[in-house]
Amino acid sequence: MMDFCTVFRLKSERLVAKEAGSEMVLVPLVNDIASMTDMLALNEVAASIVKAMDGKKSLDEICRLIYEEYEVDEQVLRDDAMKFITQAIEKNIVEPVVAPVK
Amino acid sequence: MMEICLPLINLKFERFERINPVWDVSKEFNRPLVNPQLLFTCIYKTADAIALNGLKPCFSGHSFAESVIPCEWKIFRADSSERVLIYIHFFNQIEIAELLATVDCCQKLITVEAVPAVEGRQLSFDPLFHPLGSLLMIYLAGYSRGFLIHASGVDDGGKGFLFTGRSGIGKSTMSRLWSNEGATVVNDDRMWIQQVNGIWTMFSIPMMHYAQKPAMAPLSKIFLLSQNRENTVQQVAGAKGALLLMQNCIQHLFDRQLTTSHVDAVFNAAGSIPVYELGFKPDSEIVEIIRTLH
Repeated sequence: MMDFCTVFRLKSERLVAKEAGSEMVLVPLVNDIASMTDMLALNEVAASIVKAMDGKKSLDEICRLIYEEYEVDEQVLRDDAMKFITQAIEKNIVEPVVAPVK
Repeated sequence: MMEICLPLINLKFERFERINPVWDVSKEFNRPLVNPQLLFTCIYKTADAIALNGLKPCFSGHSFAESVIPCEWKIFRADSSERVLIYIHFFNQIEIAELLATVDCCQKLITVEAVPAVEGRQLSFDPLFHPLGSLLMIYLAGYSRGFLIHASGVDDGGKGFLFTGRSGIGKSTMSRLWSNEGATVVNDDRMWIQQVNGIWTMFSIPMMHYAQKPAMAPLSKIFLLSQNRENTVQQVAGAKGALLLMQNCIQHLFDRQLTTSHVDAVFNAAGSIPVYELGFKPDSEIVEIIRTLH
């Protein structure tokens, strides 16, 4: 189940991230081998999502933080955020964090 | 000649065992264009067989259907980022049956073992013949923090313009247009991009099928080619420009260290040199448009 309440984690062990100014490129590694056809170029907002993804904040909390920081339409931001998360999950570089059962 | 000079790297051929080197595709590359920083010792010898000991390849590929040297190749990760194995199996089996090159960037040593198609036969080949030379240079360029790219490049009065794009997009057409307008073609198919004294520079490299001349030019602008009915130029800044440039690089990156180093190099180049998307129709008008571009 994937929604805005979900906490996501960047699988940094499975990618090489490169910042270029406020933007970012992610190169997925599959068995350590760079998958150049799956590279992602992130704009400023998407790069901010990645930077804020600490494995603790929900996507909703991350969107709120970014909304406070940038002059963006909130709905556009949330749509873009979900689009990015979906894409990143497909490329196996982001995963939902499952809370331990207490 | 016992040395081949690549950008910043000299290959010193210390020994050929039962191999008669033929200086063909690399024959012009016998003097350095810039001061070499690295010296690799090369030993070429024949072997009875190649033992891969169950290694699994990270990458593999094969020659094009019409190739005069039909073969398949495999890249193996050795015990560290600085050691790579290149295996080539030849289908026509006229001269060489199979070959294994071990590139040890730590020891600065390249060892090539070739199995003759006919047992006991002395071999004759250019040490950088295709596809061995192309595969070796990917890792040598990477080790010296440069990269290889599918591109043509011209030197227009000291300004280097690089035109990159997929096969058939017009790289050779572009270099011909520039040649007609008085520019010097550095290479029209693939280039070695290297920072020299802080300046990103493009170099020609020994190519398959014909003897290429050594040439270089400082990079002034990079163009990502597409064919178009009209001439269009649009600068692509930031991460997108670097990513588009990287998509045209010749790269077989088998671990994090190699990938990080490669990404750093391409981003550094794209951050230092303006990158443009260029739609062009094949006539001389595009030369003038680029010459007047600021």
